[in-house]
Amino acid sequence: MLKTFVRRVVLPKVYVQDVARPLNTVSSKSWNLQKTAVPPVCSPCARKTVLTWNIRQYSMNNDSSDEQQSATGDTFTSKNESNSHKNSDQAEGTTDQKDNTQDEFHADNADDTVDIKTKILDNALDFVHEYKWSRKAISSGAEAAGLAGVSEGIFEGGGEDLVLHFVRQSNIRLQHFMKESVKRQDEEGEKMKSSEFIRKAIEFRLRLIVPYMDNWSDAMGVLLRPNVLPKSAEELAMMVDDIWFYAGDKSSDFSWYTKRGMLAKLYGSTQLFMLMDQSPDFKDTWEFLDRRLDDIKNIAEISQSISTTGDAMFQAAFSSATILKNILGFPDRKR
Amino acid sequence: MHAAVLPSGCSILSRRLLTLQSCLKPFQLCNLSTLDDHQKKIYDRIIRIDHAGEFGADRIYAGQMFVLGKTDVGPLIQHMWDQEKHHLQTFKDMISKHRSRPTVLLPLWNIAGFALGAGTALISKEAAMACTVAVEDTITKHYNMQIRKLLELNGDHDELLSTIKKFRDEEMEHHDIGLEQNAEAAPAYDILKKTIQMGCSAAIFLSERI
Repeated sequence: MLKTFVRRVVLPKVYVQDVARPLNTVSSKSWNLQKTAVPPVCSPCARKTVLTWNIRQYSMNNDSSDEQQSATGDTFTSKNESNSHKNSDQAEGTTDQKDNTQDEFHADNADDTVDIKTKILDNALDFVHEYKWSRKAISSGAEAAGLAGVSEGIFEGGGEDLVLHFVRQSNIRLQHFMKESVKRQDEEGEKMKSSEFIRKAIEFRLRLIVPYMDNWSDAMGVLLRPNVLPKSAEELAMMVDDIWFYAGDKSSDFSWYTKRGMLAKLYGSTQLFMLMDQSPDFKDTWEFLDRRLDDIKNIAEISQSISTTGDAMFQAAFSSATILKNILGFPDRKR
Repeated sequence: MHAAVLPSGCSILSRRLLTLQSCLKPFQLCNLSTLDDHQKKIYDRIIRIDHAGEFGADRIYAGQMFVLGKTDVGPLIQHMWDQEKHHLQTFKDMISKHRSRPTVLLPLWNIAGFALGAGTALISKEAAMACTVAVEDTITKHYNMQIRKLLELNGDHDELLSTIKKFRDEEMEHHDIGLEQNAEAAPAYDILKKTIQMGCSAAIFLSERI
């Protein structure tokens, strides 16, 4: 431990700083790399771990496995879109990395292997009803994708990667929905109120869960596991920030945090309510959502009136001090 | 080259914190900026700390004006305060433009800045000027470091660079004004200046990360 401390803390201070090392070097210990010679292509926050399986015979043309229709009736080819979205995002990230990577691996290889994982998990979602969020579902998905069932071994843990994948895909679809909505608003020239926008966004996002409602409580449990919790919290934070961004939030003070915290709480409570809702088309859930949004609006108004009252009281207090000072004849301090 | 971007002595722990912070950064869309992941992290950090710094400076001047507003040095402090307000507004706009995260410690800097400004102004006018000199000195050095980092970073960073350069020049101007106003005559000038600068460095360290 002393050696680690010296190596990691003391020596960097001593050595010359201009060591040409990429910021986010991947060390083999932290990434569970199965074989050697894997390039540090991705930042720790990227959703991609790189494998050395090079499954060339597997066709990379995304065939038309049907995207599930969301309950609002929007059809997406977002699987392809999200893959290419991820690729473009990764390509953006890797162009800088390419200059710094030490070996001859290209980003293409990484893209192939990331797409494999996505393909397996996408197919595995079809088996969730049978096998819930488990390795069995993933291995059935692998078989449906044309690979051997044991390829589920590339995923660590139980069905955690499947749940996280679903959450990420849903968040990407929400992002597309919000982008379209903002574009439509710009074209029509009508600005939706942010509370209205948030309501629509939360409803859209919750409706994406509806096909998996029977197993969703299991999935929520999986997301709360200690090894998954950082990633699921990150996903929630990103989703909430996205929603506020598209709703037009431009705050730059502490309300940045309170807004996002409030929205996360709103989403969580509505999701929980929805688990137990048996009404047709989840009507009660949307009414619950409306009531919570009204509560928030009331709280905002109350806090506003408190602060104006506080200001007024402060001014009143000060004015009496000033009057007293003038009466008693104390001069203004001159420095 | 990338290691030079982080402050010296940046340990693995703070590097993990940096990556964890960037985990909290949302999924970037392509049309917003042409920065890659690494540059986005740097921008996030830079904008966060600069916003926090200008916010603190704004509060310090507010504290000074609260005490010294009616004196003969009032208009001068008001002039410097107006420039800081402009800086603060610029960084606020950058936060929403680059979707960067403001620092959690803003309420703390609100109180601490006002207390520092009002406290030094209550000691004497020269002490207030000494506070200005100390803070502007730290901020100038900080901006210079950021300019160096941005110049080393590959890509086109003209907008941010020109903004920081302009603000750095104005902060240097404030520093010189403070010295002209007899800051060195303040009681315990050296200790006061060193203490304030240490506090500012600690604030910069914290707000860069949190």
